[in-house]
Amino acid sequence: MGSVTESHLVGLHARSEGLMKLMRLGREGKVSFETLKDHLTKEALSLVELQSSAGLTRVVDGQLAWHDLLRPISENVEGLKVGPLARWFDNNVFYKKPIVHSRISWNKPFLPDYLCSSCLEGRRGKLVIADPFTFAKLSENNYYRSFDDLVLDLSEAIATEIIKLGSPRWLSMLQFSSPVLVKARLKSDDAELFTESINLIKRRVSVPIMVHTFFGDLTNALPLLLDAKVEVIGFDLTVTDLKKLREYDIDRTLCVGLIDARNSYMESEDQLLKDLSRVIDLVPARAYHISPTADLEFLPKDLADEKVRLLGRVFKRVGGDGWR
Amino acid sequence: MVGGKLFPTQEIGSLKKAPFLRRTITDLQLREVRYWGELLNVENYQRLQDALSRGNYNEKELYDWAALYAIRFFESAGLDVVWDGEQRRSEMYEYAMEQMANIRFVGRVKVWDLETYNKASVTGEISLRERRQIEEFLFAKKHARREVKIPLTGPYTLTDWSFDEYYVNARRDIADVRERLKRSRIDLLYDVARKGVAPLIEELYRLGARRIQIDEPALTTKEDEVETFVDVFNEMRRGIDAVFTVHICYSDYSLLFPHILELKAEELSIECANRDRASLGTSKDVRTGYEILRLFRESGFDKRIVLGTIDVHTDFIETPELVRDRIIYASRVIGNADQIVPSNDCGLRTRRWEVAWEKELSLVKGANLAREIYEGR
Repeated sequence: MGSVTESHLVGLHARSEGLMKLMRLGREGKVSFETLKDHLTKEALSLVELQSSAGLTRVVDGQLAWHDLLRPISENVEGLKVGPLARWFDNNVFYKKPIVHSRISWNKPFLPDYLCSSCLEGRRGKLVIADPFTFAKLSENNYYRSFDDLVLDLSEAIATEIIKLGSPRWLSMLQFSSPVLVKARLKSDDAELFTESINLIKRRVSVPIMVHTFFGDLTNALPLLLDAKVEVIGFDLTVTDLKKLREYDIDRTLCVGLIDARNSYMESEDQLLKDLSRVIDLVPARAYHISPTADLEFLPKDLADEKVRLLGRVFKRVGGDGWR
Repeated sequence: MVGGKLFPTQEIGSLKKAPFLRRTITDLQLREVRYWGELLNVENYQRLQDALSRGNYNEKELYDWAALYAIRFFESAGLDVVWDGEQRRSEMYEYAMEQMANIRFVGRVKVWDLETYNKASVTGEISLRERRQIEEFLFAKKHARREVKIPLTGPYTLTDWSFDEYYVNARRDIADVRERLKRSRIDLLYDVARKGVAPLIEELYRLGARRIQIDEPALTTKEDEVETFVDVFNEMRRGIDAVFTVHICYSDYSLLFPHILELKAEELSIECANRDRASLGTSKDVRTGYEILRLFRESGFDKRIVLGTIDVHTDFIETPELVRDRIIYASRVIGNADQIVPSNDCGLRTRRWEVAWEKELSLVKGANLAREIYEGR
């Protein structure tokens, strides 16, 4: 039986109202880029410190400059542009659909402009990005005849961008956020394509890879994820049928999306421990990480921060060999 | 149909706040009071002018005037069914939730980019503690010269746009997290409907409301819940002999099927103009926004369709001929012109009054042109 070895966040964090106000002013040209960047850095640093003090084992910068998970890629990669609003899965949240208008190719480094690398220096950081298959499925393809070609070109562009980051010391894990995988059971062709795209990146990038699934049942994607070269598989406990997961022999680490990222309700630690215990009883895995179910951007910032503290408190009660 | 008329027109609810609903009244606002007062034939508008000039008014009076101006706005444009433009409401979600007991606004959350809304959390059993819509309705009923339709934010949207700290906790004994959340969400939805919306409907009906619109823009958010919503709605309207319109905008309407066929509403209001082209014509290639109606027809949908023929997200003024072509095409696709009720895609609150006015004139003229064709004139 595996133990609970790590805890971390899985994506975009809620921005403070002050930061949003400043970003609106920035959009209107009423605040300088430097002032805005300074505030973004301060808020990202504060979030990183919150995660460290809560005792999380890896930290993220909260992606505060990202309007949505896809935007830095659609704004910067050759062949893409930002399109109209579309619903972000089953949420009252919308993203701007990327439009594929010509051949996709990596053009210039862009992630440094969207990340707060300085906030992550000296820590075990995690980079969170959409996987190429998810990105392609959420885009409007007006160029490629073959969806496979689109995904593989995107994979090349994303791998290149990660390589161009230059292996910063903080980069301890690459997380692909992959909600599309679990929306419905994938067709076998799509499953193979996803695996190929992840393996393509894995060959070029030498950090452990986690694929986090959310808003849908992991059982829709588990067989294909077990075929991909990923070290950690994350899932959303609020929508996953655990009894079906038992049918698989999981030789990986599972990241249990334990804390509900889409509700202000603060679960009690005891309740969360019970829920986690049930996962471990029902779904044997090599080891377990714990995290929120999804990005914490769905909450007001003070509640998102409180969920970080809650995650830390739960991890302190179960982390390492301290539990079970 | 309204008064047996083919292609009767109606609006969807909101209109931008009246020009005088401002903290500071300047000469510009005073001129607008006069301009719109004259144009819309607002009775005794000079009294408002005097009150504003002298600074001798209170908030309630201003909102009454705003509601009156909005009612006259839609009537003067020629619409058959009107409302007060939601002049007294802050926003469709927040206004409705403010009137519930056992909720707490927890802060602003993202909708997209830097757009946010003030989201409430349910902290106890839902009930109504205020019924400001009653006052709205009584005022409109007293002053309107056309048929009145009151819009209410629907239970599904209120549920979906809220956090829940109470119902989920009440179900904490369910070991399976997924099942716990599913069950608690349904608990919340039924309680919002039964204790938060149905009492309003019943009281409005008792006071004479005969047209009620239930706004459900969130309905297709979780497609596996459409069936539950239909059950909730049907229970909510039982025994209420009014015309119900369910308004759903900016959604994938295919997700409503097949369950929507069981909805016991007289009208379904959908947004189409936003997806359509601006050129004239009644061919499939041009009227792309109305192709979805094929699915309605093929599925045997027999309710009236309150058809979005005016895009409320742009200042582009649709010509009457464009509205006409949209109505004709939609009528042809659905196969029964009596099912079509020309309208806007959604409320007009984001458009300036000048723009909204021109749009509503086109809506009414376009419906007239289509009617003339159908009636062989």
